[in-house]
Amino acid sequence: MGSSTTEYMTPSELTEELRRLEAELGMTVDLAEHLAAADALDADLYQVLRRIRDLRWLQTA
Amino acid sequence: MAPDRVSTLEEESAAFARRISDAVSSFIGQTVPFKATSSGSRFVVSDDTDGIAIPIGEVGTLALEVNYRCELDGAGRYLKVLNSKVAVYAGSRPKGDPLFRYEYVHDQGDGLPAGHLHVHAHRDQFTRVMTLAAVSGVSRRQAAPDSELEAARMSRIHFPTGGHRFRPTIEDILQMIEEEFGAKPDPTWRGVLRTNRVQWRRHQTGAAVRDCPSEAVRVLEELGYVVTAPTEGPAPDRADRLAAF
Repeated sequence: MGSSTTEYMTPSELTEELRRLEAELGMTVDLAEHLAAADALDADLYQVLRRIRDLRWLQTA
Repeated sequence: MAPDRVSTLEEESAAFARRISDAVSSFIGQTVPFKATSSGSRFVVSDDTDGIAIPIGEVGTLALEVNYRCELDGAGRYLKVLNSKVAVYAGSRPKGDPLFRYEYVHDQGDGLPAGHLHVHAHRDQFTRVMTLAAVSGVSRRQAAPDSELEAARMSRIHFPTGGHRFRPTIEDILQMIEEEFGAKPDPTWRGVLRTNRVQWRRHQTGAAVRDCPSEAVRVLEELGYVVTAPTEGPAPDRADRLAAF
């Protein structure tokens, strides 16, 4: 019943995608984190923030 | 990274994402896609949706946020979860401040437990969610069904902590949402729940043996097995893991 997809990103692809997502967020990641903690971030932007968190974590490998 | 390692990473991450998707999809009764994104020897698995909505009766909704961060060990044999997060929100979409969230952090700092539960919501928010099922006439587990105030008391919620020996899984949290908040899972759910739970606990049993092989040998010998140590000598116990918070 479930489904999954996979993608592999090179370091440069990670960097490029993070740049694109941070532009889409339209504010600093720190500000978005504060708004999310206060339940004041738009749900669509929270999805962007989640993706940024994940890709930043991958970057730290 | 060597091509065979990439292949193993992709296979492992795809299988892991599929297992999580199977659990959530069978609970909700429709396919909930998950995506595994990998780089180097690491990968992240999260729902590939705008938010996982779980209907509660006819009027209410809870939302689920699921995220796992994993890596393969140095030999590429064992999958290690470095971080996991399952958060439950009131409403139809996650926004950052859930009712509660379960987390696991493999390399947690001093003074903090690896597996833990954060409760964000106030008591009145829980009471609201606990009454959603009743508003639609849907049943849920209640300690005192004839006592309206008792039935919606937050202290009645049983937060799962992993059964007898392990930390809680996403299946445990979904079952809690069914039992405590009145969500009605798809008929396929019970089978998937059992299969995944057994698989998880077998996997964790293996990890526990690797943390403390001397105790595994002692118990096996107590059960009548004859255990022969490898020629290079017995694998050492991992005192750091055994003593970890």
